[in-house]
Amino acid sequence: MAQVKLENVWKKYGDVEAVKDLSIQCKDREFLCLLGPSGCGKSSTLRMIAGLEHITDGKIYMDEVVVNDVDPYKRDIAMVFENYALYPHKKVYENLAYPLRVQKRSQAEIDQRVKRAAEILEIGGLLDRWPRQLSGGQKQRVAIGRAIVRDPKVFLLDEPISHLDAKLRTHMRGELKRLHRDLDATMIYVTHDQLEAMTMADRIAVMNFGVLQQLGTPDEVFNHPRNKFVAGFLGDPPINFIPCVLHRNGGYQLVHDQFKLQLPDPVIRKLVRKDLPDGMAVDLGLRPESFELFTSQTAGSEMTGKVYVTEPLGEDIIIDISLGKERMKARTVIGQSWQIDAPIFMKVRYERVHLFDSKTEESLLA
Amino acid sequence: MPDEEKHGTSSPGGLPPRARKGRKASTRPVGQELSILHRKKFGMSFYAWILLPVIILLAAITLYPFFWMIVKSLYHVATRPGQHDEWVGLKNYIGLFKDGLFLNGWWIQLRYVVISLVVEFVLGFTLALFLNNLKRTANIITTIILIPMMIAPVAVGFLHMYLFNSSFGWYHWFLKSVGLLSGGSILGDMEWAMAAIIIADVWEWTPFMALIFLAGLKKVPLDQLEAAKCDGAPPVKRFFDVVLPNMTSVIVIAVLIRFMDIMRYIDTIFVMTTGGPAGATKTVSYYLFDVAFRYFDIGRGAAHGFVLLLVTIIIAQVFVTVMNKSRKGMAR
Amino acid sequence: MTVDVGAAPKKRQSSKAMEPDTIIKRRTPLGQAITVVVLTLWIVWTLAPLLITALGSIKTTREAFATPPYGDWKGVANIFKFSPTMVHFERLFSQQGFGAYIWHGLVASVGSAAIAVTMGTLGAYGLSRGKFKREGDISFWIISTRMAPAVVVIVPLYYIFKNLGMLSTLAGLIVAYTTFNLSFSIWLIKGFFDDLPVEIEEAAFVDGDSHWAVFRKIAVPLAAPGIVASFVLCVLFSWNDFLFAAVIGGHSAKTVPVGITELRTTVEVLWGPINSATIILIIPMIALGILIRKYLIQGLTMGAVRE
Repeated sequence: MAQVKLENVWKKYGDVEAVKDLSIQCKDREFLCLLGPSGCGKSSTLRMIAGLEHITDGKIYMDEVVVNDVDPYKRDIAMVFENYALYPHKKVYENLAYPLRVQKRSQAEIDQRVKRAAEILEIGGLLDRWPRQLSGGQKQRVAIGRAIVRDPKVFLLDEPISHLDAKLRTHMRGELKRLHRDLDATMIYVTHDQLEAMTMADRIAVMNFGVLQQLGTPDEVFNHPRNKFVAGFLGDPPINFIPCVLHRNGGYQLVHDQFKLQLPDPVIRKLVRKDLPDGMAVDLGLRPESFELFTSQTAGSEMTGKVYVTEPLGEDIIIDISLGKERMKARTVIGQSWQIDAPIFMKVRYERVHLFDSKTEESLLA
Repeated sequence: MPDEEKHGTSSPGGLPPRARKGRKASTRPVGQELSILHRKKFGMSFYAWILLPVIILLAAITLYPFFWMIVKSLYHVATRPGQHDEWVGLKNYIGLFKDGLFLNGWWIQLRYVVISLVVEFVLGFTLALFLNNLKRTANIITTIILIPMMIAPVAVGFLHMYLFNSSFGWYHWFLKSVGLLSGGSILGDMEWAMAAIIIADVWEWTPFMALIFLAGLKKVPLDQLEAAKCDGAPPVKRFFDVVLPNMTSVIVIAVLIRFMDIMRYIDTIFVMTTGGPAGATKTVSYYLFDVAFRYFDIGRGAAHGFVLLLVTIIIAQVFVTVMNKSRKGMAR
Repeated sequence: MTVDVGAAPKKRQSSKAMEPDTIIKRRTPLGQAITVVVLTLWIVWTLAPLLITALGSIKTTREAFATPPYGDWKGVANIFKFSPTMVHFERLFSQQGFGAYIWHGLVASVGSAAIAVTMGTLGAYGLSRGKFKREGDISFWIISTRMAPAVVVIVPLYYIFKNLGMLSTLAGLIVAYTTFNLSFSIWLIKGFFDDLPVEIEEAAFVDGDSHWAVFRKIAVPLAAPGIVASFVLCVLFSWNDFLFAAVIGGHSAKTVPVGITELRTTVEVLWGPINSATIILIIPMIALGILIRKYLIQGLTMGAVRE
């Protein structure tokens, strides 16, 4: 197994800067996820790590060795492609065996490795089939199997489950996480699905427009996002942003034409700077789970809105609330009945509050 | 010669790329933008290397004759040993445009092309519509229908020469029996001779049009048709509003290829009428054969060929443009 | 021929309703009947000349020339009244030397096809995968070559070959055929390579294959149907060719099409042998055409239209 380090890596296609000054370190046996919207540079990064793309600038290390000009094959990596890239003219067994045949291993060894991989992925019964006879999920497992047989230093996975149907994806998330444990391998995983990243990764590297936004554990990026982008990208339904004005009245007060929130001490303690100017434009970030909701006025409820629409999800319910010009989503357990256009009273859970500088979009809380 | 982007190296102090014609010279080294599969060994990528011998071969057997032709078209070429080629400049070309047979040849060729195309288009399309109806028998029927396309044009020529023969030809017999033909000979008649050539062409190539249109019909998006049905459009309107527009590129391709082939082949004319009677079927392509291999006026022939080629190339350009558009459409 | 738009709605209706996977199928009996009639008529017209020729090849000349008086429709059945004879076929081989012609045709077409497809596959792969700035120009050059009228091409070819002493040789004919077969092959096979996702080649590359191994083990096997189709079509175009064989093949490299034209002299036209030779000429090609039926339209439109 190995650690992978990117040091000031740039990737340019002509004038287009796909990856800008990226520095990431993936620890040995870590499951690192590159997360971001399409076009953010995550696939380019993965391909550079694989050696399929030239590195415009910067260095990539594998186990302290610079691998910039090393062929993919010599880097001892294995890649699982987004569309599986199985060899259509070879049966499943031969697809799995291919990397080993190129390495000129003995038939006995090939057989043993192929069978082992097939067992881990539960595709033993498919060894005699042709790729065209397989379902999407089966093809994907064969693609993973092809990577496993190589026993590489690093596994690189490029959105491997994005083309599977929803149920299968849910299932595969668990399987892949388990696989990571069983193989005890270093894995770098590219996806645009924040749920996949949250559930599977040890650490997540959030990227946007080629720039690394934040690198941290799922807890870190979810609960302590460094900027609006990260906060907005993780979480479903996404975080609500409400533009307010910061008012210094001895303490800190958030002023909005629909409400006024006085920030309590625990929040103030988390502020990165204490010298925030009065009248500063800030964005209040409230995740849907940050509210307590009431049908009637209660003590301590700071906001009053109107129910726009409700989305029952079985156990939970998502309520779209209109607050003046704003619209927010709040999530709560099913219990009370919410009427459309009825007033709704919200209490903010201050331990879940996020605050961002409206101009720089950076988080004002640590 | 294949002309790959020249990249600077990514090492420090890398050389700036050479300025290409019409491109700004950049002093900053450009990073390699293509994947590693395109890396260069000895100056070119793998793909350029395997293309190289092929390009050389192709250049030798196509470009060299082409330039030969252009050069010779400016001379009066020697036909007897001892004679020398004589420079005449554009005289051959001017002669061409003064030549009644040349100009008339275009006219005849045009008639041939237009009538053939129209007939083959209509018949082919109709056939395609009916073939589209078939399910189980589709394969066998289409296979039978495509047989004429496999047959050598010479053979088609002889087939029809036989059929149009005044004494024992079954077409002749048929036409006389239904009263369409009053005169004695088909291939000897100025009007009928061209008709015979066209009929032979239609027999051989309508299946081509039919199969292309069939493929095009099957590609018409079903949901557009269903949307039109829901909107209440009657079948004929659906045909013109949905089917036809979705088949434009296919139609253009079919027409272009047939046009090119009619310019290309002179086999049927050679066999059936040899340009007669009295030059009634002497298309401009056929006339070239006479000029070059009967009269042996090679300089003229080269000029003649060049003009013909020019027309062909223009059509080819149109073909490529349409095909690229159609390719993008079909990739959806 | 005019298309009867009045009757169109019914048959158009049934044909549109017959799109594959249509949920509602309305097959009107009338539409079906018209379909059968039209297609039958067309097939009859398609096959009739072939039948007449086939019969003519095994009839004596006198029997072949016998047509009933004009208007005697029942007499048409007489076409089937004859006693078969192989005289014409025998004559072709013993007197006219068609054995040699068939051999020349085979060698020239297969030889040229082999060269064209081998080089064509290499060139097609290079063009398809390599990102060349001039790819458009090269493609255009290739297709112009394919579309150039044969008459135009043979003029320079004749004189160049004459100077090289390549006239009247099989080798010369093979080279002549390669002028159009090579471009055609490159163009057609490139289309097949274009359809293969690069990902598969990248996967093989990551697994350790060299460029050449990827080409050999992945690209070529997967494009095999196209390569075969190209080969067959090259054979078809060469075998069927008349002009090149006549002008370049000269005396010693005559092929069947040329041989057939020689059966028509200024003195007489030997219809019997002509019919027999025609049969020999067309049967193999019909068989080949049926063989690659699946790729025929793609091949003949040079990849522009797929089925």
